[in-house]
Amino acid sequence: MRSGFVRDDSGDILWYCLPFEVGLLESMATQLIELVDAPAWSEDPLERWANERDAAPLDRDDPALARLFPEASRNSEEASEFRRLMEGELRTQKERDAATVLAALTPAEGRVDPEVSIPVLEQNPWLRTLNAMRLVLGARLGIDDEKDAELVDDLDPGDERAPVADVYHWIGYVQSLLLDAITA
Amino acid sequence: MTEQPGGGTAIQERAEEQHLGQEPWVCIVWNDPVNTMQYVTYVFQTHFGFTKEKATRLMLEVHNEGRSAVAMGTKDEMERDVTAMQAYGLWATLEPAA
Repeated sequence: MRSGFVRDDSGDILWYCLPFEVGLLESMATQLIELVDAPAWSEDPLERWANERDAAPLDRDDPALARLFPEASRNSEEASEFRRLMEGELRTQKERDAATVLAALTPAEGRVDPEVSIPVLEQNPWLRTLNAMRLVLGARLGIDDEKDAELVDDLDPGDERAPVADVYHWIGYVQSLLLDAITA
Repeated sequence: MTEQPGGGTAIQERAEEQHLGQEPWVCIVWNDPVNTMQYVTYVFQTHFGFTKEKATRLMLEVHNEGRSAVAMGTKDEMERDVTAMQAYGLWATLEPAA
């Protein structure tokens, strides 16, 4: 049985995965799209600008959002200018990346031997989305420094955070296999 | 690890392209306990077009010293680079070049 990420001569990748992996990533991608709550997209730049202006501000007291959208400067005026200019675009980018992953997973849903196609142009959106999932889970696990990260690596199986830590480690593993396939 | 000047060549190349009278800015990437070394190296190679060696050197500088200036240019250019780094999930900021 084939398994893992297999790259063909054109650079496209097929991921032979398990049904529960498809379900887990679908759920994570859907939650990520809800979390970033991107302003409504429009082809019309003026309308897009108005949508960005009217979008609900990000709740930066949420450590996951604070980590996904870090302040771009220690100078508060610069940081606020960057938010005004770039935050809408970043929210839209993260939503589009996650939507790309979701769309790739949909045909594999419910299949006994799922195959997920990841063409060259979708590989960076996949990597960014897997990474965003890790950042969100890392924030939920309270990982602020290297010591916290080591503690999460060695959690007692009975710890209430263990199931989240398992998903966090699994997404890191998938991201690393995908990177291996891309750079092989 | 031996000390190496962060950013090296690319910073000099970009600096020479500066328009007269514009203050240079830098894009800083900060160390972070979640992003993997493999991923950060890949992002530097992919976005900036650095060789694997150079991307690895900058990644190690981030990892060992807590931060690294990975690009230099006009403020607009650095806003684009910081946006791209944040889209990849790296903890990036911009500041005027010292």
